[in-house]
Amino acid sequence: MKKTAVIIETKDGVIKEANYGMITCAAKDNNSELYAFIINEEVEPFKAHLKKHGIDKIVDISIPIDSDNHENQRSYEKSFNPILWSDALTQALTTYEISSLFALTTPIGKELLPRIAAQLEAPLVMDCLDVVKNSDNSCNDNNVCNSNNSSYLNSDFHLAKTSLYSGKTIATVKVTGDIRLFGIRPNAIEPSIKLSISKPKIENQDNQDQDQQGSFNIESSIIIEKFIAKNRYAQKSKIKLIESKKGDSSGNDLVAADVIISGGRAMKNSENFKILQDCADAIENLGVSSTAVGASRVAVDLGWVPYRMQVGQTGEKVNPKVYIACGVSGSIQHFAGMKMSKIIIAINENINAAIMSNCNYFVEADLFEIVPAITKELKR
Amino acid sequence: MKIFVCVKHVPDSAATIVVRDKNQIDDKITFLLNPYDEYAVTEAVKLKKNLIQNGASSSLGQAQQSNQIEIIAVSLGTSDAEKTVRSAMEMGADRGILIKTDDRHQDSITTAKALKAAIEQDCSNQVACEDQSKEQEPAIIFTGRESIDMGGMQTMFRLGAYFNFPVVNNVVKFAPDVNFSVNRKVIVETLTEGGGRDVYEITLPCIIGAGRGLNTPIYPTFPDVVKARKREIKILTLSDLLKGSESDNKGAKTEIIDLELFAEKRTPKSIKGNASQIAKEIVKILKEEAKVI
Ligand SMILES: Cc1cc2nc3c(=O)[nH]c(=O)nc-3n(C[C@H](O)[C@H](O)[C@H](O)COP(=O)(O)OP(=O)(O)OC[C@H]3O[C@@H](n4cnc5c(N)ncnc54)[C@H](O)[C@@H]3O)c2cc1C
Repeated sequence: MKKTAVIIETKDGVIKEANYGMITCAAKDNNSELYAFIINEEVEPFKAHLKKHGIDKIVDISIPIDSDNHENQRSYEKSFNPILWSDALTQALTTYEISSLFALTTPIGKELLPRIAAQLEAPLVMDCLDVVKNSDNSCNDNNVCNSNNSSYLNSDFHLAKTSLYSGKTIATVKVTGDIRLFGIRPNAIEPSIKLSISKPKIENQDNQDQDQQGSFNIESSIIIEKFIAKNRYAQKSKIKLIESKKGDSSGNDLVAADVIISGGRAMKNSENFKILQDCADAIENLGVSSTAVGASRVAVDLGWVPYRMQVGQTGEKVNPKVYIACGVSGSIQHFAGMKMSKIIIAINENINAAIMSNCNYFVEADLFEIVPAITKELKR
Repeated sequence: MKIFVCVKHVPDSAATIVVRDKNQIDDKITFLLNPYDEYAVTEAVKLKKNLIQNGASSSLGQAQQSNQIEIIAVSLGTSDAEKTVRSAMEMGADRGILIKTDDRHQDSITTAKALKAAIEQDCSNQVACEDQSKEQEPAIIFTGRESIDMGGMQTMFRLGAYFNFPVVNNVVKFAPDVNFSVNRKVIVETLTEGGGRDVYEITLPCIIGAGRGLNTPIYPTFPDVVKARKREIKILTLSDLLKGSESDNKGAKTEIIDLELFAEKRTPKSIKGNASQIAKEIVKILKEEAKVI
């Protein structure tokens, strides 16, 4: 049986929500055994959740700091190090003979996937909105699979959907090769949270799969394999991570947020962004959705907010359920980052701003009146 | 010492894209230097100036040193990509190399292989390197963090793997080490999660993927443009460069088989009333339609 692995991202000892959509995507391939790769974490608490989402095996990876140290007095690299982590993952991938690897297109994924792909000379598609295996039936609604060209039908390949040309097009990319890598855009795929232990995954697996699994009992606990990577980057290495200055981890990840409230040039200064943050907090406090504040490039260039808040072509590409654009004109470059939002609500004084004709709801008004009113309403 | 900058000819981000022949775009639109590559070219020019000023390369006079530190812009693309190589030279690159292809799109494995072959060829052909024994090697290769058309984010890493050079991407700060002339080290900061920074110490040769904010891109003046016209662009072809090396990666590749315009089917509805009525309506949408509260 083929093997698929997902790289799990955690934050403060918890699995980031965005992982579940990615796992759902990877788990669609019923003919593959699904591994979760987790580095330098206590994996025990994750077992139930991962199992529920379709993971068959956890590979608990640790990386010794010094390769020369004796086994029993080893100390382990704790914090994220792109060089060491990608190398450790490459080793695990080879050891467990994984043929497809999934990770999130996050700052961490953007470091790991290309490094692994380069080491293995394996194909990689970043920022995927969906990935299907050719044998997958969900391929049927895709005219690509129905094309007359039979070479697409009988060989082994993946089809990855990704947005190209600044979000203006959706491409279907055919991926072939012994090992294939996919970066999944956070929030692009709905997690199958409804999949519960009482309705096990094994039901929709084919016979061959059941044979393989034998009397495998869904109730039995998930298998955990310990993998101690070799530290192949000793002191003499040509590249050394000498310091990690932690970023601001207090706020929510923009890319993973369910609701984003963005401000543009109309915000006028840094302090006014507090108005948006208050509104975001009010939504967050209702306890259902993660909410984050975003910005246009103008607001970033003028120094009002940090670059990591920028949405757009040269900023973050986001997929929230709701995007509220406040005093943002809706340039092509801004749209490149947020056009996948399910619902766009524009608040703008100028009815002729581009965003007003390319949204779901628009309010022609002063944002400084409307946003505080929304916050007030949310707190009622 | 040779500094290479890999540049890509990409559609203007404001251009209207039209799909042609199922998986290609109509290319009768404006193409230009990939925005992230502007940071890469600018950083290469800054580095050259810095090294000349500080006499880092050797005990030679400044004029001679200026000749010994060369910036070469390399691009893989169709013949019109010459324009982008020229743009890089207007910003300060000394020469250009265009690896000509027939197809506008090449996957990153092919691109990285071709870039490596072109860079290697350039290094073995010319004797303009500071250290004669090292002349087969480039000192630094700059690229942009990603191309805005494909957004693959991987070509620099593949190039690094083929050369066996260390790679860092999304670099927002770059400086030669204080002892650069002795230890050939650079100190580099990359942007990480939540606006954090990772600081690396890297020994040359290496590959640097420029991120936004690394510098303010050079805006060429008219004299710059005139000067760049006289500089050489060497034209190579992809097929010549890769002769014999195509078949060794066991069919591992990515291929765009279908391209569709991303149609936004939004019909905007107006929300009217006074501030509190509007707020009520929006909260209702958040609750009932979006179900986010
Ligand atoms: C290569 C390239 C890459 C780029 N990348 C990005 C990117 O990643 N992200 C990005 O955002 N931009 C990007 N841009 C810039 C982009 O072209 C626009 O300049 C930018 O998005 C405009 O920002 P804005 O909407 O905040 O400002 P403006 O276009 O000035 O819009 C301000 C809006 O606020 C409205 N307004 C003013 N006061 C109020 C008020 N009190 N209440 C309500 N509305 C009000 C105005 O009517 C106007 O519509 C890029 C440009 C280039 C060339």
